[in-house]
Amino acid sequence: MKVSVSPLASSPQSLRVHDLHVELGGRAIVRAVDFTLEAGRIGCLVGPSGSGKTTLLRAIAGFEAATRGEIRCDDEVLASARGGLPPEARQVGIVFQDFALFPHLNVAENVGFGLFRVEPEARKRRVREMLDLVGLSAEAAKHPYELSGGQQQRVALARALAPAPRLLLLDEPFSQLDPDLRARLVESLGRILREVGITSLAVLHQQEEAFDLGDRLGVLVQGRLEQWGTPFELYHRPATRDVADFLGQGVFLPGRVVAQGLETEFGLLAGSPAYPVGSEVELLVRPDDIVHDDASPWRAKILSRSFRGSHTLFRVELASGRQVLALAPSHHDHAVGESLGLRLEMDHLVTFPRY
Amino acid sequence: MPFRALVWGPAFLLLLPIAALALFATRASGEIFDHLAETVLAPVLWNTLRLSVCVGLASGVLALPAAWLTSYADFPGRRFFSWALALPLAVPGYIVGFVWIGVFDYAGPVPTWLREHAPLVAEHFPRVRSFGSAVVALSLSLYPYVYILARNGFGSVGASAFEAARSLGYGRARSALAVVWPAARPWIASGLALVLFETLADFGTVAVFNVDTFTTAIYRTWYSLQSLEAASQLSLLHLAIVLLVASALNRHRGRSRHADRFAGRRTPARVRLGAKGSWLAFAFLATLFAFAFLLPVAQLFYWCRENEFRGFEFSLARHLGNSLALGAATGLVVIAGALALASARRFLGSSFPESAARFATLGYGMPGTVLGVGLMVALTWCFGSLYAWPGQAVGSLLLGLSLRFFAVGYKPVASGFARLSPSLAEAARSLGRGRFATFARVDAPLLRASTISAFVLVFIDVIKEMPLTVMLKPWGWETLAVRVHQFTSEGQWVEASAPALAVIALACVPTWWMGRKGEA
Repeated sequence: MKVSVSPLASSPQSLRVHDLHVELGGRAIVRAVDFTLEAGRIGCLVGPSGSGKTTLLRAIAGFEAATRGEIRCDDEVLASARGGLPPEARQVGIVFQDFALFPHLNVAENVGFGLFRVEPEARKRRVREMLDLVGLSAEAAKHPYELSGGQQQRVALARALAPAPRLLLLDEPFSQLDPDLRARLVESLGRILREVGITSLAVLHQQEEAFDLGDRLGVLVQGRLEQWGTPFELYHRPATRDVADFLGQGVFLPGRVVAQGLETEFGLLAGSPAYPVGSEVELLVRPDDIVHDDASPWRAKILSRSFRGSHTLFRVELASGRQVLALAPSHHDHAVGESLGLRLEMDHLVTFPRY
Repeated sequence: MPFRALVWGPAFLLLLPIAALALFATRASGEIFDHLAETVLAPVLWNTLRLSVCVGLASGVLALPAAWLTSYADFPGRRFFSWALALPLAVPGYIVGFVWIGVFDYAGPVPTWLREHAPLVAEHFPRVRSFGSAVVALSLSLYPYVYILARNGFGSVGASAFEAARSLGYGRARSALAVVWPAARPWIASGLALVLFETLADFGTVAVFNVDTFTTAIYRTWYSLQSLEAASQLSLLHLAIVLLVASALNRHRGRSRHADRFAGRRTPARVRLGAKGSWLAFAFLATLFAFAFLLPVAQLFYWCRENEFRGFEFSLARHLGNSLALGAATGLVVIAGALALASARRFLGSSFPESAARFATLGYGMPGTVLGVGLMVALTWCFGSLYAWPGQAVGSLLLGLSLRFFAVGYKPVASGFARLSPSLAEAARSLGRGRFATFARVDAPLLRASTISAFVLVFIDVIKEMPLTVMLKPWGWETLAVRVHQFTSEGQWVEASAPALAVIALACVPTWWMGRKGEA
């Protein structure tokens, strides 16, 4: 389905967050966050609960004040330590976690709520356009309580997009929804956002959703943005141990840097770790880095297995007693307790200092 | 920040009369007070205390079985009684009281009939102007507080809680004790607390029965002895007792909290009463309803007819108009204040001083006589007189009633606000609406129901209120309750019937409406 969307306002704008600090009740919630989201891109913020993701989003929307730093859209400063525009003057749309649909208004009235400056004919047209965009034209006269969770989310999205904001924020848009629905909704949300071409920043709880949706990905830990980049970069070249820990599965294997590479339980791995010879480091090993090889001299005992359709994820115990995860195509059928031959196959070594 | 200071406005207005009372009472000479202390203080203290205890007990005894039966049992008439038993809320104790006297006093129809047909019973017929009668009249008018809140508490218990208890080996009665009692107890305690405060504040009923309590003593000291000093000294003492009771109740209630829902939404199946049980239940509830509502209304109607409806002339319409205007004006003032305070609370979030709201709602615990004396002292100090400028008396009456009933309106408004998700207002702001447009387009329509019920509750209370209105009203300006007081203090029951009937009619409509709404 292709819907043409008339641009009520401007072309997409970039978001620049510079050295942002936010305090709530005297506690630093967001610290020195710095990133740029290019115009028209979808950015995703992930991180453990209480890491400050939502506060960061609310600061951009104008519901929390910046104690230091700056938030800019293109050349306009939205907020700085000297104060900021009130939320209503920012032209920043937001989809709330609970969707916050107005219960006393029907779907069309909800979507038209932000179009109060637009004359009635144009408003009607825009509401119809938005409902077409999210595929809810038939639901225009219904009230929010008559809609399913997925439909409510789409109304909230249409309402936020209707006034053509320069930036769209999404606060855990999938958390209220049935897990079965999520995969489909992530895809349709991504499609709509790209179609509109709006710069969007989403806070997500599930990393899979962030991988699916985001052009850019950021990991927040204790109020600090540990890394900001493409999902590929963050997964394969995590800048910190926290990022490696949070994104994807994996374990850390101890190793020692030698002249030719890295000495580990799986023998010598060729490569050039970023630490001097003799350093004790930890090597990030993703399940897909461990290859099943019956000829391998390194054997491990299968502790448990979980069938994932095309692949099977094994939790195995190495000779040292250390446990790692190994992903094997699911036609390799091995029972719990059996011994498995394993080999490490890595394009590059991701290492962190060992304390 | 000036906004933060404004939050303390209502609390400050209430503290003003209290502070004035305290200053004035401690500075005044003690001559009259010493005299009062010797002669009336001990009986007044004793009467106030035993009245509170007895009315509290009697209200519980009447209300709890009624609430249990209408919540959990099924018998003929249950639907009718479940809302009708809340109606006596519209019949103030002072009206039950003077009807009681009219019917059971020596010259009344019942003793007269008894003297003719059963002289032996008539000889032992108890004296009606007694402490016991005051307890009965007050309990009949106040039990609905316990009844309504206990029903809320019983209604909050879901069927699955019962079923869980039964599946764990509890019998019917034991599950009720183990599940219902803990859930309903905080509600019942709130109801009893309301009864206690109303009893401590009651003036009209005890005045009718000539039972001396603090309120009547304060009134007489001010009115007959013309001593504002002694009145404020007595008021301060009374306030101390009320605060003592309030803090004791608070400490008790601090430990248990209301739960909106206790295990699920499904309501438990009703117990079908047998023939005998149904009869007993019906007889009990019918008697309660008859004495608390039908008897007063019927007798008032009878008197009105006997008087050839002479009360229903121009003057009644004027007093009715005054009552309506006063109730509506107070309702509006309270709602404006409550909305302002509740929005400030949401706007300031965690930095909102909760104690400002707690102070502002203390007025509900203040007896009308105490607040009346306090305001008189404060206003006389500020302006030199109660009648310094035109409209001042009506203004101070409006202020007094608004302070007295602020809590009544603030509670529903604040809980209405609490039910609104904060992201609703934030969504409106992010869509370009300013703070005031957000309030008008999102908050106000969503708060309509709770604002209306706040208005109605304040309205009923103002219509029934007696002592504060009697003390602060401008000279020659009367409401229905004031008329009832003027007639009953002269023993003119027949003349008092017309305004009394009008009070009940006015208070009945919203009570009935809210009761039906609660049932739906």
